[in-house]
Amino acid sequence: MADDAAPVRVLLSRHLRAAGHEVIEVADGMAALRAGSEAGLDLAVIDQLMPGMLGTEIIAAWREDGLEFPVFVLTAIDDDDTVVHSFELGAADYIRKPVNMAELTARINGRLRDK
Amino acid sequence: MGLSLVSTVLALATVVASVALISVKLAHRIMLKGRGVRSAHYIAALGEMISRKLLPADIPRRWAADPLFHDAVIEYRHLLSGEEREFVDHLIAEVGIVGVLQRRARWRWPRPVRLRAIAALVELAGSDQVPFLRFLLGDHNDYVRSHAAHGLARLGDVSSIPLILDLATRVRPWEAARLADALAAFDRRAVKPINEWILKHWDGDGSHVETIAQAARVLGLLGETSAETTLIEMLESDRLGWKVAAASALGRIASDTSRGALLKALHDDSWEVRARAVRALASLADGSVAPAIAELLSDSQWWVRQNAAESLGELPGGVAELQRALSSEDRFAADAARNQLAELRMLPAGTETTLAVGSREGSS
Amino acid sequence: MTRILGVVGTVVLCYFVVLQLYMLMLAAIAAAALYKERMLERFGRLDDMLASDISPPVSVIVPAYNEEAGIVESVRSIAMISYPRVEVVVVNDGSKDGTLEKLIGSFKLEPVPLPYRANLETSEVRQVYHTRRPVSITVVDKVNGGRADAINAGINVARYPYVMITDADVLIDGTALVKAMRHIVEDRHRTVAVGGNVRPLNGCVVKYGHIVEAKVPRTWIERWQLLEYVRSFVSARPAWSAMNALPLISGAFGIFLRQAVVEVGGLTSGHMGEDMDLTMRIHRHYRKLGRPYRMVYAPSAVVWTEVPSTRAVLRRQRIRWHRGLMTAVRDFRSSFLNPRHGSIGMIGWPAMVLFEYLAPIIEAAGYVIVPLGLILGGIDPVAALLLLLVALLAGALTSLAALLLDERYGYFNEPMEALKLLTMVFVENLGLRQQTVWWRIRAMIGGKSTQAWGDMQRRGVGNLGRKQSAA
Repeated sequence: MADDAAPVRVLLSRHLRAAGHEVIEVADGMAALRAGSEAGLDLAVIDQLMPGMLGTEIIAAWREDGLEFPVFVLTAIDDDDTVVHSFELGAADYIRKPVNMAELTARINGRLRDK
Repeated sequence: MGLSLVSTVLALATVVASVALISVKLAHRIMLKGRGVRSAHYIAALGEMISRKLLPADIPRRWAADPLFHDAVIEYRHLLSGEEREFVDHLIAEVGIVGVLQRRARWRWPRPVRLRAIAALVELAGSDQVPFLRFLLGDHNDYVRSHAAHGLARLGDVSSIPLILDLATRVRPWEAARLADALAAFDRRAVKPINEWILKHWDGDGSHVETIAQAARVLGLLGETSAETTLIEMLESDRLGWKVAAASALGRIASDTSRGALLKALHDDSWEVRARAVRALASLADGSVAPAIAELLSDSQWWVRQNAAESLGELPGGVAELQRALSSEDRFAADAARNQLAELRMLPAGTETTLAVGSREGSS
Repeated sequence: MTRILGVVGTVVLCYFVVLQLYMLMLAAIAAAALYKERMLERFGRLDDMLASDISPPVSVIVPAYNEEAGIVESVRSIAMISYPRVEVVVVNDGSKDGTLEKLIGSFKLEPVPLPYRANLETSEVRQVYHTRRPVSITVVDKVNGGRADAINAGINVARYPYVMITDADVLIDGTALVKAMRHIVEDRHRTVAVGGNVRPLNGCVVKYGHIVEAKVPRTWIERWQLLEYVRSFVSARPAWSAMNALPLISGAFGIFLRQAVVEVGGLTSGHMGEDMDLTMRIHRHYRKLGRPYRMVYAPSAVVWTEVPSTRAVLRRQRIRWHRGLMTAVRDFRSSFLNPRHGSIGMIGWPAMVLFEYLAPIIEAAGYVIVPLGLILGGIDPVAALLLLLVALLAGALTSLAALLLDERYGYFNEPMEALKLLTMVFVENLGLRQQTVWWRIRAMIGGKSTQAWGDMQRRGVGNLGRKQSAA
């Protein structure tokens, strides 16, 4: 779970932990990239706009390294090009802020069950 | 003797400045740390409350006065939707943040405090703050004014629209543009008052001309067909600024009603109008206008040719027009078409792609 | 004889006192300007500007010569700048390495017959390549003609009304463009150029093209340059900008109204200080036309660039800078104390000539005359010592003021880092300063021997803020 905004991390990881998942929280692009390569994730939720790296850049780097876990991209910007680009890179879902936490948690749970 | 006095003073000043530098650095670090701790504390506490939907009775009074707490609340409010946002609004009301902010916004606090309070207020205010925000529209500080306009837009207070537009006629152009941007944050209910305001000031003195163009831009951003009649009238007026704004706005609305007027605007005397009319017609996504647009491939202005070529690339049947233009006698039309086809990767094999250097007329 | 020595010696010492007082005055003006800027930025709703469709579009021009190592990263990071509408124009200036191939491969560029608006004359353009993804990227492949020539070619191809001129090896902060463009949005009819804040990259921790942590560099020579940059970009330029007397917009980051650059005939090919030349010509052009205009400096629009880390490279750089300045002083002598040229003619340019161009001569003269005068007895030792002390202290104070102003950016907050900078304030007078004086004197008397660097000249001279190709 990577987002530079602490509220997102706090709320989402609360919800996810409540659903019985293990959560690693990071606040910037570089840390997200490292966590993705080292921690053996089942799923990542990343913010598109973080200090250091764009979400799409991070996905691209993971895919280049052969890491294929599903990635949810979270963003406040309404930019169709970015949406298309994320999906091209293999993002599993694209969520616009403001978010409904309950719904997002449900989606993530669904995704993890499918695997 | 004067010199020794000067050098003593300077020596003292140097020592003071050195000490100041070091202490500012240290203070900066301590303050940043303290802020980080407080901020993290607020965010964690708010996260706890929100996820449990539980408001503890004993929230300290000083929280309501701390700008960092306001920031944390604003962040959560931006992030959340649905029930959770409602809970945040409930929390804002219970803690009494708005009262604190309003006092800071009104009183003669130092400017940074006052501006910060206003910036937070426009994010957190409820509809009972509308009169106060309207009052702030008359502030002498331009940033306060534009914040107030955004706040009114966020609250969806349609009856303030004429006030904001009136204000826009009195301020400098860039601020007017910002105020217009604020209006775009309203929803479709804003179309009617904006439209009425334009018609009311249509024949007024010159002072409203610019603002009417800005208002037209907003109508385009709102994308409502009910605004078209006014925009078409503006497109047919004899004011350049209006024509340009109206052509762009009609392109955003993209409905068939405006086709006739836009086709006529293709032959306008001003290239700025032509360039925008071309793009606007393309957004109608109707292949029947392609031949008319193709004529503009040989326009005297680079931007018009460029826009015409781009538009043809998007329109059904446009590519055929581009291919026809390749063999045009007009070198500029052929260039524009060739460039566009190359971008679309649709250039017939064997076509020359080396550079054609030439300029008919510089455009900006 | 001794009388003359005495008078000259005193004049020289007084010159330094005046110079330092002038710098202090700039710092005071800058303090006010920076405070205002900070206010506007914190409460000016920059995010709205990012979302607005009226933010004017910008073409970013990147001249590249043998940059295969970093060009793709560089273009990618520019494409990621947060701004509503940008296009990237890379000009491959006859590179001998794989710069062009790298670009074509990485961005899947296609040759296009771009209708090329040859507003400015350049050396021959071979081919233009283009793609629309991830943003519009145009690559102009041309015969080598030098940095200025390459930028001119880029301006010909640029489609947007504003051009941002930068370098392939400059690291641009993601928010720099929007912060600089704010000045244009808020006064669109008058603002013809905006310059940015160039900071040394040396010592900073960089990852994936972003600054992770700003640190004070390791060697004295780099640290000294850091101090110099802070003095120039944090304390002097905001003040010049506030008076609309900016004599120089850095080549590492400058946004210009395309039309203005075209009207003055573009950049001068082969000039050693083409950015100062361009800035001054725009000043002269608008003064001549009598059109209201302003050129501003945006302190919060930050870009990072590598500065020389060895004495030899620094020497070459300083000699070129000074030669560029010499050419400019000759070309713009009509602006010197010319009331018709307004603030730039009366304040900005005379200060440049007096305190930058002449400084090395006067300082060198001081090193000879003052000791001589003391020995022969023409100068009162107590007065001389006091004047020297005043000049040195005022100089230290200027540096300290600049560092204090730099606080608002919040870099280097570790106590040790602060201490390193603080010592530099006093240490710079023990050799480093005299060294540059000597280099600049060499530039003035050196004649041809200091000119022949072949390939090096291509990059032209900069100003504070151009990476050296010797790395």
